[in-house]
Amino acid sequence: MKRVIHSLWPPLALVAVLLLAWETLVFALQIRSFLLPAPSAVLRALIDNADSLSRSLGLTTLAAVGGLAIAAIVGTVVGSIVASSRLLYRGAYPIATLLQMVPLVAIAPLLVIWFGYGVKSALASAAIVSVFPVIANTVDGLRSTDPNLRELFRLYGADRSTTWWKLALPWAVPNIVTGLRIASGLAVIGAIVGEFVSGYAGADAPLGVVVLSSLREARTDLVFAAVALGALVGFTLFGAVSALGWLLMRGRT
Amino acid sequence: MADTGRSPAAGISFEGVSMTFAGVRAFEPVSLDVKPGAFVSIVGTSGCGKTTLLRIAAGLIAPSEGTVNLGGARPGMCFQDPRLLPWRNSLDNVTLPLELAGISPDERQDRGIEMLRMVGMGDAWNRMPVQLSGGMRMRVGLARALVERPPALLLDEPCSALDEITRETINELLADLWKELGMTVVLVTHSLAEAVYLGRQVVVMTGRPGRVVSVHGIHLPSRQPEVRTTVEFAQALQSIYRDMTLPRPPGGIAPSSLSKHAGAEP
Ligand SMILES: Nc1ncnc2c1ncn2[C@@H]1O[C@H](COP(=O)(O)OP(=O)(O)O)[C@@H](O)[C@H]1O
Ligand SMILES: [Mg+2]
Repeated sequence: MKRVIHSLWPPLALVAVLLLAWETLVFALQIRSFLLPAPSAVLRALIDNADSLSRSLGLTTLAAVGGLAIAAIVGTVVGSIVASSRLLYRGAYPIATLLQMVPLVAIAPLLVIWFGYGVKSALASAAIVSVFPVIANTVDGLRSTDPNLRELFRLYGADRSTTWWKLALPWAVPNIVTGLRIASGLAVIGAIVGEFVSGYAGADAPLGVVVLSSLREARTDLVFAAVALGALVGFTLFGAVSALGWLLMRGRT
Repeated sequence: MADTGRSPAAGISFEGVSMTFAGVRAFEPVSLDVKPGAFVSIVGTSGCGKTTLLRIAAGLIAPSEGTVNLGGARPGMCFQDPRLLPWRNSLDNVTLPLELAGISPDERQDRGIEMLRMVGMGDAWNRMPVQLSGGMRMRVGLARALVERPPALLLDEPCSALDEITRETINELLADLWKELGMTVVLVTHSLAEAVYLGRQVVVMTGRPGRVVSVHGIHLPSRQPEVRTTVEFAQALQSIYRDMTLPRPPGGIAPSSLSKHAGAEP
């Protein structure tokens, strides 16, 4: 706990200083609120709209968490299949490299056709953008399994699936957790982009829609409030994944 | 302690076993007959094929020529690095072979604890590998190799990464386990003293390509640590040493660097 506080206070102090500078600048230069709202104005917007924003937060969290969960499962399964065969790996590797150049968010509008308007499309969008780092890291981890340990399992007559379950998968856990950490940030981005194209305004508007509709009403303070909440989802997911990783790797080092 | 029981020992017979890797001969045909319950040491320079020979005996690789007969049983095997799974505690590492053989958790636990006690690690059953010293890890590795009570134990330089004192204690442990369990032991080592102290026979191999040059029967007045200061022990070492034909610089080590330091003393 002491160590957490020790490593946490400098960035927190820096954030406080930056927010204070922002606040001061907005007032000193008399910047109009729709151009750049002061942090205090954003905070006020958060409090005044706590009710509807918390529902938005819930929807976006659902999409991001659901997308990340799907990415975790699909990513581990696909990664395991790719790593299980040398030929498949050699076939998939260049494709995966090329796929990284494909702007995946550009297919977000398509998701509306497949999943309709609403949270399902946002969830799918989150899953699609966050699955690739999970696959890549799973493959790396599985392939890096110590050959000496593989030999040990061979000595004791373990078959392929047992070796995967009891050796390769636990061996790859640190890699998979790394992939999930990267994916946790991408899941929030994916969810919000999905909401941009698939969300609808109204009482149950997710954060992505809040951003768009507030922009039309020149409520920049609400835009910032929604962005702040989106960041909160990202931080929380990252923290949860890190905690899970700590739990899974306890005792190893 | 529960009745440990002696394993039925298996003989290991190598018949014209040779190995060729991608056209390169690792070692010439080896024929060796290891009697049931024997303790045989194999010494030889690096690269003469000792590890490959053990891997063939364990059935991990097939020889290019010849056959190894172990009586159909799976030997226990222990490597230079104990190869523990870092995410499992000592007990769960030791019981891995039983787990892979489909033995029930209760029985696994009993047999694992008993084996850990035999190697002097009964109190450390729930410690993780990172919490263990090199010697303790080797003890856990030995317990895992023996937990199935294999009729033969193959050891590939188990002590070469350990410090002198730890190596002594592991050697004593090996001698005790052999006496208590009665399995056949093949110990690969590059320490002549270790080979002679533990082995009842010492097989000498030389390198490039590897081949067996001689087999020495070792007869010592006792197997207590002090035996290493006896004439018999020195003679055994010497005869093996001759067979290994270790390359030495002609005329011995140049004395200049040594005498310079000696001369610096007032
Ligand atoms: N899998 C392998 N592929 C190719 N060459 C190998 C392989 N394993 C061992 N060798 C070669 O066979 C020889 C014997 O190796 P090894 O059995 O490890 O020797 P030792 O254990 O006596 O040091 C060495 O020259 C080594 O390079
Ligand atoms: Mg070797």
